[in-house]
Amino acid sequence: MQTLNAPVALEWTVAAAAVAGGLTMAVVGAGYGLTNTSGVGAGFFPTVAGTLMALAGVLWALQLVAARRTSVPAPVTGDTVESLPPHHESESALVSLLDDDNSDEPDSPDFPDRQGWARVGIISGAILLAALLLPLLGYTVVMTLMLGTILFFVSKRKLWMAALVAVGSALASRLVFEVWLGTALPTASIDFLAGLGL
Amino acid sequence: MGFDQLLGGLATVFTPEHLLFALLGCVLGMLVGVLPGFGPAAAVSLLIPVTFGLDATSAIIMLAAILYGAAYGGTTTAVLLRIPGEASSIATTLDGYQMAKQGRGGPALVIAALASFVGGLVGVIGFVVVAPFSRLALEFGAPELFLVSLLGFALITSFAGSNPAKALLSAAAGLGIATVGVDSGVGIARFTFDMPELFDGLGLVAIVMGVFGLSEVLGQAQKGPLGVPSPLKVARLLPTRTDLQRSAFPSLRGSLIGFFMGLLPGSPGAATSLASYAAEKRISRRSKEFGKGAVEGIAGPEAANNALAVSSMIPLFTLGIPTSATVAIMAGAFTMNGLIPGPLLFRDNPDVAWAIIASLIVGNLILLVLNVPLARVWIAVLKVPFHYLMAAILAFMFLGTYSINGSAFDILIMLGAGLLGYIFQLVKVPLTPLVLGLILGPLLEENFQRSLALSRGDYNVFLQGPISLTLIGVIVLAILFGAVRPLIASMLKKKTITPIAPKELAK
Repeated sequence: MQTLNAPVALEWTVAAAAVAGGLTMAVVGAGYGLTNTSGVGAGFFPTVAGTLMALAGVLWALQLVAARRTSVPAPVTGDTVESLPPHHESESALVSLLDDDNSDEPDSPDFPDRQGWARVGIISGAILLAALLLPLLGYTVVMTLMLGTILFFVSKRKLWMAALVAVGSALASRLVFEVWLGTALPTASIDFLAGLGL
Repeated sequence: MGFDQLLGGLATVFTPEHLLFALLGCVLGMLVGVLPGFGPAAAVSLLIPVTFGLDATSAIIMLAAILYGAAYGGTTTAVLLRIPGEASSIATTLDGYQMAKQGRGGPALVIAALASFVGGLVGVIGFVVVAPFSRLALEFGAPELFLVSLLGFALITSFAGSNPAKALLSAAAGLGIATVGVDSGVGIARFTFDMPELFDGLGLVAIVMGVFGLSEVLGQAQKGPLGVPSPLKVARLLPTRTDLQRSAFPSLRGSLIGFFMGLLPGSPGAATSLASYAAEKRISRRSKEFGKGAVEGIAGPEAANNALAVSSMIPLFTLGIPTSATVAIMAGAFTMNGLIPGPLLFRDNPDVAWAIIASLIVGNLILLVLNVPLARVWIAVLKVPFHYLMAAILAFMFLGTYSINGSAFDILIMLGAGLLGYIFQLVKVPLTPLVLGLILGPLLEENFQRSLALSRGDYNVFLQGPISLTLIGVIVLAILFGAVRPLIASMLKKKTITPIAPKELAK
């Protein structure tokens, strides 16, 4: 049996999530009421959106099945030689306008390897924790910890360099936002830290 | 015609305060635009928080300047580094980099800036001619507005990306996200899970910052440390008289192509500038020089790109319908500043509307002056290791998102949207329909509800009158065209494509 490579497995996962999420949205949406006395209920649009999402997921899954039957496995791309994105220079103005490769969408990043996923995970985790701890520890401490973590674990800077840049950035951004832009940034709710002005 | 109003708008813009914000917007836009992957949509979404606290006119002038600045920043790196900062700079890369290799980076940048200025100017003149027609849109009732929104939606979904199913998924996700919060018609809380933070819906700025900004940072960060290729020198600055003569007509032709393509919802900048490039190559007597440093190959696409950037605002100003991700974000910025994009803008806030249109000329003028002198500065910025730039961008996004409502909850929304955008990019789901779904969703729903309320639930309200019937016909055509477009393109491509040689691509 042919095994799925990681990018195709992710496509299957997203298509399945679209079907499941779309159906859930449609069912929950319908519960808000599809009609009311003035014509259309609060649940009409969520139901439409959910149904379209599920339909798109099903169409995508069918494409994946068709591709699995007909294609050879696509090579998994790792870190590749830097190149221009796959836009085409055509002799015809009409083709340029119709060509899918000429959309304004950002170019897809290469599929991450295990280290790539780890980097994405660390950055996302650092932002998540920083947002959750912001009311407790205050802006300066949270920003220092977030940037320090990212610079040390993702950027592989030396600990002292990561700490120095993180503290400097946190203090500088606090200065800019509070003094120049007049935006109040949250301070810590822990007495000890609040007493230090953090 | 609106030329008198345009002069009035210019008078409004020519105040020290507005000029300062335009200048600041240009510089900040260029700064973000030179970063690889950060195009105008990412730049505007990233920098929206900078405009908080400004009055509506200043905020929109600054955001428009950021938009143009980002486009110019992309051109600079396309010419000197062969890194198109955005997709629409690809065409400039083809000949701009070759000129820079021949020691003519300065003239290439000046020609690009001049052509962009011509494109912007033609775009604004066209804008002034078309603007009075926005009065016709005032006659539109709720059913027509619903159908116009649906048309915008159908066109964008048909034109975005290479796979209609994925574009539909993205659009439906945007529509779904837009339904979160208290329903405007009946007042029922939808998908709020009893969380007060969700009653007003998911914040637009937080979502676009995540979808276009954070997803890009994650995409870059996953690769680990990246090097920046050595930039070529700007060297001699001014183009020769021959360069100027050779670029004059391509600039005008590119402007016209860009202007008319911008009026069509969904026409992407990259495709338009490449179409202009192809047209110039076909017309030119020096077609063999294309790809080896032909100024026409820079002038045409740059003018087309900028004219399109201006004319793509016309549907927003006249009908209130955004037609691209960047314009959708601008529409969000209008709303945040208490302005209703569309024909009502000219009726209720004509001073603001014309000041914004006039600022498009002023912004381009500022960029014309700044483009070359600052090129060296932007190259220096790119020499800063990406991991430090990334830390600065993340800190800015964190702070910017927090400052929207003074709420850490928005940061979580930004993070969620960023991860969604990142995963969508990995599986090649286009992001533009998502943002348009988010912006057009409430318009669709509101006008749908109003139409049916007026007709007491009779769906025939959407089939009455020639305007509605025409709109329905165009919607059907758009959907059918979107379905067959990939087929037509691949058939034509087989016959005509000249791929870029692999040895030219590899560094």
